Amino acid sequence: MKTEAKGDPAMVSTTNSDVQWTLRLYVAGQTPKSLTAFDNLKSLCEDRLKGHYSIEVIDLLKNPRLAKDDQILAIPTLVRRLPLPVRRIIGDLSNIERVLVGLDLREKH
Amino acid sequence: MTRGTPDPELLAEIDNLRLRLAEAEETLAAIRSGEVDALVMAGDHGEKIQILGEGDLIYRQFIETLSEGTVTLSKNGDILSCNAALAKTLHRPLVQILGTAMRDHLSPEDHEAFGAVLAQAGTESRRLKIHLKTAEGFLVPVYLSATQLRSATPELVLCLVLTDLEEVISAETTLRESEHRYRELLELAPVGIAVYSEGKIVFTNPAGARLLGASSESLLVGKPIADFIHPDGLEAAQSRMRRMMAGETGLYPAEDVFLKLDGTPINVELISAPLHYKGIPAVQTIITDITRRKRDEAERERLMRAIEQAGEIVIITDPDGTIQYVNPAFENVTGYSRQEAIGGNPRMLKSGEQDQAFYNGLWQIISSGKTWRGTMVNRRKDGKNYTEDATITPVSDAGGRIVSYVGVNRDISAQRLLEDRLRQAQKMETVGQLAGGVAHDFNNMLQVIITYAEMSLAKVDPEQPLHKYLMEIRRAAQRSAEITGQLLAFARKQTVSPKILDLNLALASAQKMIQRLIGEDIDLVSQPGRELWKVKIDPAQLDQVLANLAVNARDAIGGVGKLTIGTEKVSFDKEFCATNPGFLPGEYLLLAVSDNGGGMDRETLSHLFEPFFTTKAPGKGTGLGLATVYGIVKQNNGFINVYSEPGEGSTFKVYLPRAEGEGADKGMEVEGAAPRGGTETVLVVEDEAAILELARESLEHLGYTVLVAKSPEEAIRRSQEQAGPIQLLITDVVMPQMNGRHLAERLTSVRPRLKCLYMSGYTADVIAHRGVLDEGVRFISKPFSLRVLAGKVREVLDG
Repeated sequence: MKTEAKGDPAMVSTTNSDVQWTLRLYVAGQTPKSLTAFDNLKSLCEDRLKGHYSIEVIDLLKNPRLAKDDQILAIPTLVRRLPLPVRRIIGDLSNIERVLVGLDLREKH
Repeated sequence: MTRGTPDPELLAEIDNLRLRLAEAEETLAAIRSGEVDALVMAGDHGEKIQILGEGDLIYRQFIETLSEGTVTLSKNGDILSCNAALAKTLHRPLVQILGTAMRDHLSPEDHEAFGAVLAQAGTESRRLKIHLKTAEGFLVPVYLSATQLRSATPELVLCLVLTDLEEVISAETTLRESEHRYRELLELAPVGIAVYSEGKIVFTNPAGARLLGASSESLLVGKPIADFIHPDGLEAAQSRMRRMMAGETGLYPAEDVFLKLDGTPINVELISAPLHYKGIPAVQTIITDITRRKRDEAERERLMRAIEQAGEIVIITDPDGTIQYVNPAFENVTGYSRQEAIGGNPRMLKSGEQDQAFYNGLWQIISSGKTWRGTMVNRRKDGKNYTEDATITPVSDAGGRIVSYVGVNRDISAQRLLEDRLRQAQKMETVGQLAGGVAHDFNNMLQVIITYAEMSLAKVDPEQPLHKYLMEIRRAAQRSAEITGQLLAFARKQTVSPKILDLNLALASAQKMIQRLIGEDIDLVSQPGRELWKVKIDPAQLDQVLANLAVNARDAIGGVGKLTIGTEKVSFDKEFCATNPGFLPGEYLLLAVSDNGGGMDRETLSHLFEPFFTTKAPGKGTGLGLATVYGIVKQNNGFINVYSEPGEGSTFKVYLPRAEGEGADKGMEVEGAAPRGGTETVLVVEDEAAILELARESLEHLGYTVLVAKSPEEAIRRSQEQAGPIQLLITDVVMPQMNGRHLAERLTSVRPRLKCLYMSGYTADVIAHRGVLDEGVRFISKPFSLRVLAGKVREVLDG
């Protein structure tokens, strides 16, 4: 189910080549879905954002307190920090369509 | 319609709530749909992560697939869990392991150490080497690493990782064994192995120490390697090492001279290679002492040279007789080169002089392992035969099998030739002695026959038939005397009076005689040489030589032809004689007699000078002619060579030594007319009655007054009794009590004017021994004819 953030100032997607994406993936050690999420994310970024992304993997098993930053409840969770607005997708990111929509990537760049 | 405007704060709050609700719904949905496998939970000390379901699948798989055993223990040391590897190592099913005490699976020896690990406080990992005990009781060495775990329960848990050390140990063992074997190899190697780095010896094995004359390796370690290399070769050795280190190949094995600890030089063979010794570049060298080998090589070299230079022929063949080696002497003697001989068979030298049985016998002896010694005639490459003394020895290996034959042979052809000559000479000598002995007795008898015949002739009327008979008797006797004279000449026992002659003069005066002998059909050509030296020879002997050679030539020509006689002076030095057998060094007069007759073959030539050898028909020739010549020439210290080829005629070359002193007599006796007698008184002394009687009658016949004596004593008495003069003493030279000379001396001391004439049929040696036969001595040899006697007597009395 897609969530749309109301009142978000930057609702218009600004997905053009010049923008640097900063993505944060929250994992729990080497749980299968953590691994899968990372793998999928990596593929996706290479595919769509080559050259202007950075992924930060946060292993909450090692440091659970970091969950607070982005108010993570379930793992794995992907958080798009940049470009704003912040977007969040929970799960192993296997549903590409949902991920694209959630990150506002769709087909057009 | 206007209601009251809602509170913006409230609106914001609602929005926020909506957002948060949405998030919560989203999260719940994600959880429910199984899209997450971990949750953030609130814990006692902050957030905690709870892994759901299969979240730890990967970890578990790691553990299970590890080849190392893993164990989780409670604080008490009980096994809470373990992986498959441990179960396999312990040879137990899981059910026998879980819940049991860890120490139960350890070797009892390790219980104490393990207990300490368990009790150890702190979170550092602890390491230990222990032995696990399998279900069967086998001990497996393992390396234990223990870590304390923080777990959910208050119980402390230990995690162990057990690494099977068997392989490691086995690898270690293998390595150790390998090292051990390597070390043993070094220890036992019979060749020296040394390692040096930075110019110093860092290692040497026992053989190396021994080689360098050190009682232990430690004496050498640390010493500079240069100390052990002979200074002459040091630079070369260092250069070689540098090149080897630079990667050059083909430098080794190299030979060098090393010095032992005490300075003794030894020949060595080196094989060097670079290596790393304790991390530093170094050189490892295998050193072999080849001093003995070098010495053996030098020895073999020396032997080889001896064989190569030996005058004897050396042939080496394989067991089948195929030639493997021949030395230069072989090449020289046989005329076959080394290349022609090697690979061939000694049968190439067969001359045909030995039959097959000979060779079969030879082969039988040597193939049975014995040495064969003998003489055989072989053939050179050019077809000429040569004689050799051969010694053929089989050579066997340690097992007694023959591996080769070695022949050492000496060419004795020259030796044989000399032997043959010697034998020839001895033969002549023997015959000569025989002849001499016979001739003496014969002489006396002939003397009797001749004289009586002459006296009878004087008393018989020439018209009477008796006269003719007597003439025949005398001729026959004279002829016989000539023959015995020749025999004695050959026997070299004839008494002779050598005189100094000019050959050309002698030749001139003999020309008529020679021409008469050879007849009209043969041309006589004279080639006198110039400025000839003189020779010393009895003229009668020279005549005999000329006569016999002329007759020989005449018979060889057998019809019309040419006879050439030449003279020349020649001299031969030692070198000439060394290379020309048959010549003696010195100055000689050459008398060469050549004819263009039929020539002689080799067979005839070999028998030429033998007495009684003749190629003429029986009755035609005595076979003594050339033997006489030979005897005369030898007696005069000359030598004679003959050159002849069938169909090419012959040349006899007589070499007579140059005479010492000067003065050439004419010295040729001329046959006078009738014998002149005399009236003097003659004393004849002769121990043989018949001769004495004969002499008396002969002399009385000639008119002399004859006194006779049978012995020297009687002669002395006679002389004393004789009142009147005695003009001539004729005495035998050899008599029992006193020789003729002494008698003469005795008598002439009393009768100073007494003249002497000696007579004898005895050997020249005997007479010479008794002091007669000086130059000019009046001598008459028996048998003599009346004429000769008369002449001599007259001569002496008149002289």
